[in-house]
Amino acid sequence: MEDFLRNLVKVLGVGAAFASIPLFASLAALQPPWPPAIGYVSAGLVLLASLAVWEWTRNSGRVRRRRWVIAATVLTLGGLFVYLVLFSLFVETIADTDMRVVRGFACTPDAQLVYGDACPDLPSDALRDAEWEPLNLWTRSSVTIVRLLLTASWLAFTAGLVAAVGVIVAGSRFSNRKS
Amino acid sequence: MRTVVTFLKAAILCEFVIAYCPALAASVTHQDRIANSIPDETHYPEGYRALRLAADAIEQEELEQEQHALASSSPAVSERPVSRPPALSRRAAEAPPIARPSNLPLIARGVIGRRRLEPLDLFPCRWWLHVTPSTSEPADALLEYTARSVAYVDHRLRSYGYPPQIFEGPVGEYERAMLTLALEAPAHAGERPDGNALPWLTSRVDPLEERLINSLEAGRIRQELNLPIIAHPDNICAVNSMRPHARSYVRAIPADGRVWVIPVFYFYVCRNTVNIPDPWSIDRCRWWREVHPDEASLLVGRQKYQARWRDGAVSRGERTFEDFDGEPVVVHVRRD
Repeated sequence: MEDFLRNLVKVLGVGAAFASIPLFASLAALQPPWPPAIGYVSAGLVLLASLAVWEWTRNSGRVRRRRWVIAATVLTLGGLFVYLVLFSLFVETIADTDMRVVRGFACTPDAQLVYGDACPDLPSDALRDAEWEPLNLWTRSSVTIVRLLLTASWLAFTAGLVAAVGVIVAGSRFSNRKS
Repeated sequence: MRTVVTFLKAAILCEFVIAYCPALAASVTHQDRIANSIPDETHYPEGYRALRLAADAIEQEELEQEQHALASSSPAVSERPVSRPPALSRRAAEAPPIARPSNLPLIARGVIGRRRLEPLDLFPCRWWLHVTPSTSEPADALLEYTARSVAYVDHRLRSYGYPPQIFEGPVGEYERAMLTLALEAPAHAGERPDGNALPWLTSRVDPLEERLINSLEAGRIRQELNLPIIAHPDNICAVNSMRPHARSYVRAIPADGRVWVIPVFYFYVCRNTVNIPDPWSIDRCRWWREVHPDEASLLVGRQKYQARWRDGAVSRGERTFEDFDGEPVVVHVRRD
């Protein structure tokens, strides 16, 4: 029991260390612009992922752990790639500020009336003319879907990262015990 | 040994004198110069001279900073708010700092002692009027505006090479008229239910500024001086000449006008809608919204505006609101 608690604290420590990644990422303006408290959501998910990985892999064999590491790496790289693509396509930074807005992929009837064939790939001037409110230009459903995809890919990236580290730490403990 | 100690004491004393005395002397001279340049006139209300002294010190500091910034080839004007001179009342002291427009073009280009041919804008966006409308003590507020504006005008004219005999008379008249306004303002504040005298003041200050500009221009032409002309203020303060914050007070000048705004996108929507023949129509284009002079409005991005006065005069235009935080400022829409 004592050994279990000691190792649990160790994994939680690693999880807490990685929970700070979103904070650093936010400093680098990497995190998604939506939802507003994405930093806390990421930190919670990191904690959850570290506990889950610990629970599932602490007694696993080497082969199974390696599969976990490969899966977590794929999740990390895949999540990051998708996130960056979506970010480049749909996130607009307001000039001279650090504020960002998420575009949609389907124009509102009003935007269709003004911009016609340019829809849905509107210039950033369109956002400035519409008070930087994307829902004036794109439908709510399209903006919501993009927001969810951005957030999901970001969370996949952070969860994959902490899972990979968690598996390695748990494996290290397992290996030490075996040896 | 004693000789060595005495020598060291003497050396330290000399070093102190050499290091600090010139600075102290310069400081005293500077303070004296400012104090002597503003005599205590009989028509000055109580406490006004102290405001003038403080405003003069600020302007002097601003000019020196510009000179220094220009010498080091860095941008001359920052977006920091200008500190206020000591206020006459507690209420004035609690009011937010007077915001100075971010890019006063002439100041930014100005060089003390160097030839300047650009028009001289003595009232750039009337920045001393950019305050919150909490003016239940309008006399105090106007005294402060007057001190700042007179100090600003005086320093700018001197730095642009205007001889004092040309501007001292008109500036003195302007100051006297502004002080008279300050005395009348409390009575007019009582005419409005909210006690706000600022609309009344802004409509009175305008002609005084125009008169001062005309007098200075007349003097310059009469004496055939090869100096920069005095610019008349823009109609609106001013498209792309300053960057107001997102929350703004929009006021018509004269104050009996009403102002409406619309995001450019919705203006285009109305323009492209078949059954709306005129996108400037407030009744037909439903996105026009009226902004009230005493309420801070959230204005973001590019906006069209139109102001209408009781006599039927209309002023229209467009401006961009780019900042998203900071203190609210006042935007004036002036009649054509």
